[in-house]
Amino acid sequence: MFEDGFIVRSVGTVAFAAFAFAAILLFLIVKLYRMNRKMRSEAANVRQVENELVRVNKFLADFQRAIDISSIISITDRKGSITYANDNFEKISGYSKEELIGKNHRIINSGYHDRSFWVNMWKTISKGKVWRNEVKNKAKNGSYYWVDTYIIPFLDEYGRIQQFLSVRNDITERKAVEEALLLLNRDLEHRIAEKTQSLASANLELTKMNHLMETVQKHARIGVWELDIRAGKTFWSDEVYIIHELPLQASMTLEESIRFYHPDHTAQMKAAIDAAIQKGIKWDMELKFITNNKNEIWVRTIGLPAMENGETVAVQGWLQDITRRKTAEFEIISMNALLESHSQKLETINRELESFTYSVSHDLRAPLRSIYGYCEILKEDYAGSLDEEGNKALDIVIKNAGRMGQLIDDLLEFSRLGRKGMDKSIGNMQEVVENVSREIASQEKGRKIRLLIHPLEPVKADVQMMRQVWVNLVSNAVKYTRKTAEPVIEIGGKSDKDKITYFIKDNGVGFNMKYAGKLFEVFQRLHRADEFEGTGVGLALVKRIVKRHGGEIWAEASENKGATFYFTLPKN
Amino acid sequence: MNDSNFVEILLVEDNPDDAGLTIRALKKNNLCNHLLHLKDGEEALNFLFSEDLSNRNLKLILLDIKMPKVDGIEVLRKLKSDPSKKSIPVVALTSSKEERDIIQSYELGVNAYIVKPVNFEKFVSAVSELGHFWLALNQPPLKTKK
Repeated sequence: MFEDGFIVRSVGTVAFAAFAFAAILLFLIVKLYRMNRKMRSEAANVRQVENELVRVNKFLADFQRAIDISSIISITDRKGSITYANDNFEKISGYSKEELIGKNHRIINSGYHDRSFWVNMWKTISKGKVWRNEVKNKAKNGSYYWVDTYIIPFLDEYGRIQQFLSVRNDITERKAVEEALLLLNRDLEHRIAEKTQSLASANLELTKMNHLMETVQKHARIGVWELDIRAGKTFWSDEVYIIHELPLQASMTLEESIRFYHPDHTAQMKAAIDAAIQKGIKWDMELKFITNNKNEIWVRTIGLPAMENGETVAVQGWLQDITRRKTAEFEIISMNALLESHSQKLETINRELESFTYSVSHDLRAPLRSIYGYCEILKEDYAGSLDEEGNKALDIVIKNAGRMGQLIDDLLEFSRLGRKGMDKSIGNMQEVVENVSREIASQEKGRKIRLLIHPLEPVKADVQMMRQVWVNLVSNAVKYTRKTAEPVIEIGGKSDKDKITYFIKDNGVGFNMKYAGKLFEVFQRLHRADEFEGTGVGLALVKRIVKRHGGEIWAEASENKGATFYFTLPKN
Repeated sequence: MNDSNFVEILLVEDNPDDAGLTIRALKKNNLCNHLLHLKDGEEALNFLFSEDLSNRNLKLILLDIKMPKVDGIEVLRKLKSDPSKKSIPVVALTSSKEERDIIQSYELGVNAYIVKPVNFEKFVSAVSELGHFWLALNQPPLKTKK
């Protein structure tokens, strides 16, 4: 209405005003038009943005759905409190969303990872960087699960952390496999280490054993060998070559090696090998052998078949040079044969001697008894018919027959002693000596004999024989002191380390040491029978007993000054 | 019963001289009234195993060991293995002092073993002692048939 007022005042002004009005109107129309056009384009823009927004939202929703299905998702605030957990989180952890929201992730901490692990995580995400690692978590029921974890910090426009998104994927199975693998590996490594160790020590043992075997083989002259039937190969240890007197490692077929046996034994060896290969029978034989240098030796050969499924696959064995032993054996055999023939001869002689003494015993005694007996009858019945000379002659016959009887008895006793077995026991020598002395002294009626018996220790001997020794020695002492006014007989013994020396000393007639050598011989006497009766067998008998006990006997004497007899007995 | 049938002592001895000495020694002691002297083992076996001994009143056999043909050991063996004769006392009266003879005789059941002494006095005393012992002192088992 402003333009109308203006028109009233002036037509010119009105024209101008109309013009101005038209111009302004035009301007406005243009402006409006432009505005309208702009508005229209802007509306189209808004529609376009709106459409875009819808599209983006859908994409995001799809994306989230995809991630929710495939992964375990959680979101925490800056301080680590859970603000969001998806279904997968619930499923794997066993905790419900209500239990999780507001809690820290420590709720599922398994304690498997150390502090530095978590420190490193916080350091990384605090700097706004993505942290990725494999984490072992603990579910509500106490079971463990492994997750491949991403933690992605979300920042605001100023770069400050707003929250953290965790995306996890279950890798429990893979981890289990990995762990099993790890364990397996570790076990394997351990076993390998162990094996290596034992192999090393076995190797050392083997080296030692080999060395030992070689030494033994060399010294015992034993070689070991193996015939591998399947491979058709033979192995000989060095000593086998040495026994054959072949260069080491010389090649040798089975046939060739059999030919080293002595022709007498080749067939035997061949048969043994055949039996081993065909029937699995082992052999152990001592055979003659001819070496490469044509030396005849003896070997012991042993073969042990190795069987597989009832079939001989190899024969192992050893070969030993036993020449020295065999030689010794043969020597022993021939010596034994010699000894055998000697002892047979000896036995024959002994038998002859025995039958001789037997006939002496019987055949000599019988006629003697007749001589003695019928002389006595003559004396009894016809003494009156004979004169004094006749009676005296008869007495002499009787006396000598008696003496001969005694000689025969003593001689038989002496020879019997040689054949009699010894019965050694611990004998009380003191008792033997005392009993014997008492018996003999008691037979010497009217004589006063001083007997001095020193303590005698027990000795291991044939007591019966010892009795005989003392009977003879004491009898002698008693007999040869018959002419002594005050007879003294002293008996004692001296013990040494390995023997006891006994003595019996008298103060009788003694003897000349010139004849001492004859003293202990059979029928040898140093006194005439009309001085001292006797057969000359007693001391020979004593010597024989002492000798059989392994002892010695000797005497010291001088004429009319008594005699001392000594003898020893070994303590063992 | 006729006394002349009696053989109280049977002397088996091949050596007539020894037999003479034994008989004289027994006579001295009046033990010789019913003595039969046989000269070897064969005769002894013939007498002992073919005769009826039941009414002979046999009290003692004096047996030499070493005799021709059948020896004393053999006689002893046959006697002692016969149930009807093994209770007759047998004394070996011999020259043999050999241990194997003594051992064998005792194993076969000899009642005594006497070695004849060379010395006549000893011989007489030995024979008279054994005669007295076996004929007078010894009590034989009762005979059922008499």
